Amino acid sequence: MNLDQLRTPHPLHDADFAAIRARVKAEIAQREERGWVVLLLRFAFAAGLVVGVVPFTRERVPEVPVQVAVSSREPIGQIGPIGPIGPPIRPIRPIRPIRPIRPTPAPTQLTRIEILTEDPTIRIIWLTPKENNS
Amino acid sequence: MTAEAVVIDESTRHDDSLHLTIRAAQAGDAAAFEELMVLTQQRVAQIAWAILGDREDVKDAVQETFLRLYRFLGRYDAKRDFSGWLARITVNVCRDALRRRKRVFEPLADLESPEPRADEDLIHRNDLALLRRAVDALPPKERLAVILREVEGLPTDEVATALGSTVTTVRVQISRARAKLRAWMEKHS
Repeated sequence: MNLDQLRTPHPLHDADFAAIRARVKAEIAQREERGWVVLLLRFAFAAGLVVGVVPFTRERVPEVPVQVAVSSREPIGQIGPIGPIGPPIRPIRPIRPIRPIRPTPAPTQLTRIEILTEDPTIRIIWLTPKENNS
Repeated sequence: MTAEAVVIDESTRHDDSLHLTIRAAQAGDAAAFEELMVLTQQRVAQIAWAILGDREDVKDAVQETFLRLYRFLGRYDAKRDFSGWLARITVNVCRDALRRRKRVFEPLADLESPEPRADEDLIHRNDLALLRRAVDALPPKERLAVILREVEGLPTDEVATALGSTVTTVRVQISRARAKLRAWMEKHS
């Protein structure tokens, strides 16, 4: 059984090949053009997102000023931890009163003593509270 | 210089030229891609013709093969065999064409039974026509292996690359196909 007898040369001619190559080149050019358009559209979409959506989201979330207040008054109470919905809430325990803030002592005056060494890049600086009688 | 040495020298020169063209086409040189199409068009058309057997289908297949070649050329590794790689693209394009053709044209009865019809008695007298029918009746993978290796005479390793399988698998497929063809021919001749 000789199967190579089945081999017949293909029926295409040079003109067919020329037409095929021309169609391939035209298709490639068209695809590349489409590729650029898609790329530009993507860029425009991304730019639109940045320009349009980001400021919008900023407006929607107002900045809340954080205020920190220190009080020496008696505390009202403490909110217990939030547990799962269902079990009864434990009674609020009173918290320990906040200790009154001690008045800070007046800043003491310091005496600065500089000791120069042989090495010009090294200096020993000694800071000590100034004595009243000095 | 012997005749064999001349042939090897010519083949090497052709390979070098082909690889230079491929590299230039990979770099985006349109003229190099055109040259690559010219260098490979006969081979692509021959494989497509052997599988499809229809002039218009072959033209479409060659065009689609070159479009896929353009798309995937960047992925081609120069260490691999270009002929086998291109044959694989061609075979895949032809497989798609066969799938479309079966879905649209071929009636179910023809798919189920390769029995000859009464009005084809004249054709059956011709052994060659009978052999062609026998090849067409083979399972798709065996049919492709037989066409590429036995009909078109491609090397077994190239057939394996083209079909995406191993050399051993191709040999087994061809051996099985030959046994089936022999049985088919004995039954119908």
